[in-house]
Amino acid sequence: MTELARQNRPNLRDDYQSIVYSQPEVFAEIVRSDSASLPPGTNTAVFLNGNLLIIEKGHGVYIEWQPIERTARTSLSENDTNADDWVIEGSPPKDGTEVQNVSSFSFNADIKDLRSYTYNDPVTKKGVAWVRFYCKDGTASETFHMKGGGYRDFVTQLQRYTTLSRSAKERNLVMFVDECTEALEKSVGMLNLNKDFVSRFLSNPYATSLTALGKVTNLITPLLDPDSNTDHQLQAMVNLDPVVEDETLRSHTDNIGFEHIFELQLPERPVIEHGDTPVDEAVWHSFRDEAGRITDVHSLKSLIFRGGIDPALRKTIWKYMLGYYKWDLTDEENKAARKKHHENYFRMKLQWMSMTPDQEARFGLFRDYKALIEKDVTRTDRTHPYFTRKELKNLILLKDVLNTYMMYNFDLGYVQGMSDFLSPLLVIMEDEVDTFWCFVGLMDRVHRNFELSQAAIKQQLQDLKNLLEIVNPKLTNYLESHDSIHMYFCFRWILVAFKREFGFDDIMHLWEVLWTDIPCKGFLLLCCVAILDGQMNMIIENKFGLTEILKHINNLSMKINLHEMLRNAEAIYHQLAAVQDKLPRHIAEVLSFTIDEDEATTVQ
Amino acid sequence: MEAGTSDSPVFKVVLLGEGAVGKSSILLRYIENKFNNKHLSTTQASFATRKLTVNGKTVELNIWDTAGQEKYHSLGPIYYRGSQGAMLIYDITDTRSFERIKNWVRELQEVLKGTATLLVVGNKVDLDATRQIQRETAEEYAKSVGALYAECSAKENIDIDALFETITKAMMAKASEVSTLNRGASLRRSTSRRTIQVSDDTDTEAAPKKKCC
Repeated sequence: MTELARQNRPNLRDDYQSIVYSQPEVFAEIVRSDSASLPPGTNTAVFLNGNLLIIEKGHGVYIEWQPIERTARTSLSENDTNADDWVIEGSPPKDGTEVQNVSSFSFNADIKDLRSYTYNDPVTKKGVAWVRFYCKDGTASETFHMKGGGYRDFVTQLQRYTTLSRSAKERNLVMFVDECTEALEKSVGMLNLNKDFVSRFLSNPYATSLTALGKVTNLITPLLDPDSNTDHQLQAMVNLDPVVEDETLRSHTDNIGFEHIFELQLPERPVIEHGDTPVDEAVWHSFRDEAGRITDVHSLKSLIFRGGIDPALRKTIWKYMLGYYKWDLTDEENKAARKKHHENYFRMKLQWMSMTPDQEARFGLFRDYKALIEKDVTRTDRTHPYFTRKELKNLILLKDVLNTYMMYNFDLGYVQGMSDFLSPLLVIMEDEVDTFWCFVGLMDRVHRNFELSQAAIKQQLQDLKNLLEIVNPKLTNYLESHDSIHMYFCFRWILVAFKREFGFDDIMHLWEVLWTDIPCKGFLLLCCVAILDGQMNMIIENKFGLTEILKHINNLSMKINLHEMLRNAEAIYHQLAAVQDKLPRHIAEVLSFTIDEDEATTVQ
Repeated sequence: MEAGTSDSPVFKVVLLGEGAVGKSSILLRYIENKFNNKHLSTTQASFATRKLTVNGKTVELNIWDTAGQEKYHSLGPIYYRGSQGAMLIYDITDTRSFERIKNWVRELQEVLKGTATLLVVGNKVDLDATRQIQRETAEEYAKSVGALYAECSAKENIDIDALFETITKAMMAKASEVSTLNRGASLRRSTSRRTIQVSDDTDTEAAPKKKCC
C-alpha cells in the first residue's frame, strides 16, 4: 500500500517530508549507562522527554522519536521529577557517572521495516500509555511513554499507511501486516496450505516443521513474485505436497490468527434517492455548444450517474464516454478523426484477413487466439435477438472486431470474457468500425483484468476484502473463518464488470454509470460490497461454507435489483467518505479520496 | 437437483479441460437432461450436486465445473483440491484440446498423488465425421497414465450417465480400498465430509428473488 501511495505521487522529491503526526511529551525509557555501579534497589530506568512523529517522506513513511531535552527524569510521575532531575550531558550528575549523548537515543524507522509493536493503553485516565517497536531484524526500540496522551490518534494515523492486526494469542501485541505477508497469507489461504500445514504439524510437529518449513521458503518467492509466470507458480503449488484434508483437524486452525484492531465506526447509511430521468436528446443538446463541443463534462456525467442515458442516445454518447470521440472537439473535428479511425481499422483488419494458411502454420499464437475467438463468438449472448442463429452476419461482425483487436493489441491477444464486453457495444453501435474503437476505449479501462498474471483481479479482490472489512466486519470475519476470504466467488463480477449478472438493459445502464467514474473509480467494488452486504444474513444464517457461498453468489445472476444495488453502493460511499481521514491509505486510494491531497503534494 | 442428506457418502468430482470442449454441457445434460445451444462460456467455477445409486449404494456427487481457458489455469488448484475424481474432457474433433488434457493429468498426478480417480473423456462423438483423435490413441494414452477412458456426446445425450457411473464406481472402489488399509482415518474423513454438506439447492432457489441488496 505504501508502494501504491508512492506510485500515485511520482513527482515527489526525495527530500520531501511532511509531518502527519506529532505528539509531545513522549518519554523514552532508557537504562542509565551507570546502572551497573548503582546500589541494588536503585531504579535503573530514566525517562527522556521527546516528540513522537509520523513523517511522510519521498521514499517512505517513518516513525521517529526525537529527544527535546538533555535532562532525563527518574520517574514519570509529576511529584518527584523536579527532585530527581538527572543530567545526561554537560555537567555530570552528582553521582558522577558518564552519560551518553542524548541524540543517540533517537529512534527512526521506516514502517516497512517494522514487524510489530507492543503497547499498553490503560483504561483509567491516570495511567500512561506506552509503545515499543520491534523491527524485522529483531531489534526493539526503547519503550515510549506517552505522557501527553495521543496513543489512539497515533494508531489512527498509522493505519492510514499500514494494516495493523492485533495478535489473538498475545495480548498487547500488534503486527504490521505488510504486503508480502498479506500476499503470502492470501496465496496460502488459496491453497489451503495453512490447514494442511497446521494439521500435519499437529499430528507430527517435528517432522512437519523439518520438511514443510523448508519448503515454504521455496514456494513463497514464486508465489509472491508478480513477474514469475504461471508455470513457476504452479510448480510452487505442486511443491506444496498437500495431504488429503482432514476435517477433524481443521477446526484447530480456525481461531488462530489476528483480529483487526479498532473497528472503524461508520455513520448510519444515508438514504439515496435515485431514479432521475435518463439523459435524453434535450438534455444532451443543452450541453453542446454551437460547434458540438461539450464544455461541462462533469455535470453531464453527474446526470448520467444519476439516471443513465436514454437508449436512443447511447449510440452517440457512448462514443464520448469511451474516448472514441473527444468531448472538447467540434462535430467537424470528431468526424474528421472518425475518418482516420476508419482507415486505421481496415488496415489492421487486412493484417489478419490477408494471412495465408501457410503463414498461419508458422504463427502459433495467432492461430491460438483465432481459435479461441471462434469458440467464444458462438457462445456470446446467443439469447439476444441480435445474435440469434438467423443473424449470422452479426456473429461475423463480433468475430471480425475481436480478430482486429487481437492485431491491435497482440500482447494481450484474446482472453475468454472479452467478447462479453464487446457484444453490447456492437448492439448499440451497429457499425463495425465504431464498435471497434469504442471497444478499444472500453478495453483500456479493463484490459488488466485479462492479463496472464491475474494480478489486477487479485488486487481488486484484495481491495474488495479491505472495503468489506470496514463496511461489514461481521461478514468479513465469517468469510475469513470459512475459507472464503480470498473472495474468489466475486471473480466473475469483477472480470466482466457484472455482465453475467444482469440482463442487457441493466448492464448497459450499469456500465454507463461506471464509465462516469463518479463518485470514484472504485465504484464497481462498492457495488460488490453492496450486494455482499445485502447477502450477509443469507450467508451467515445458512452457515454457508466455501462451496455454498460460491454457488449462492453464482445463483444471484439475473436476480439482482440494479437500482437497489446502485443506491446502496452510493450510500456506502457516503458512509466511507464521512470517515475518509480515518481510512487506511490503500482504501482511501481505491475510493479516490486521496486525489486532492496528492495533487496538493505534487505542487509543493 | 436434490438436497444433500446426511447419510450418503459424498464424492467431489471436478471437470477440467480446454475451453469449449463441453464441460458445462456435460454437466447440464447430466443434472437437468438439457442441452443448450446458446449457452455462455464459463468464466467462474460453479458446482452442482446429484445423487446416484451404484451397486445398490446411494452416493452424492459434488460436481465442479471450471473455466477452461488457459489464462484461468492458475485457478484450477482451488477447485480440484480435495477431489476424489476428475474428468479430463476433450473434444474429439480438436487435437489441441486433447494435448491440453495431458497437462492437467500431469498436474493432478503431482498434486493429488493418486488419491483421485481420473477419467479421460472424449466429448462430441456426434461429430464423428470430423474426428481428429482416434479412440484407440486416446484409450492408449489413458491407460498409460492409469486413467479410465470414455466417450460421450452431451448434445445427443450419448453415454452421459455412464460417465458418472464409471467414475463413481471407481471412486467407491478406491474409497473401500483406503478404508481397508486405514479404516479409522477413512471413517473420520467421510463423517466430516457429511457434516460440511449443508447446502440445500431447493432452499437456495427459494430465496427471495427481489431482495438482493
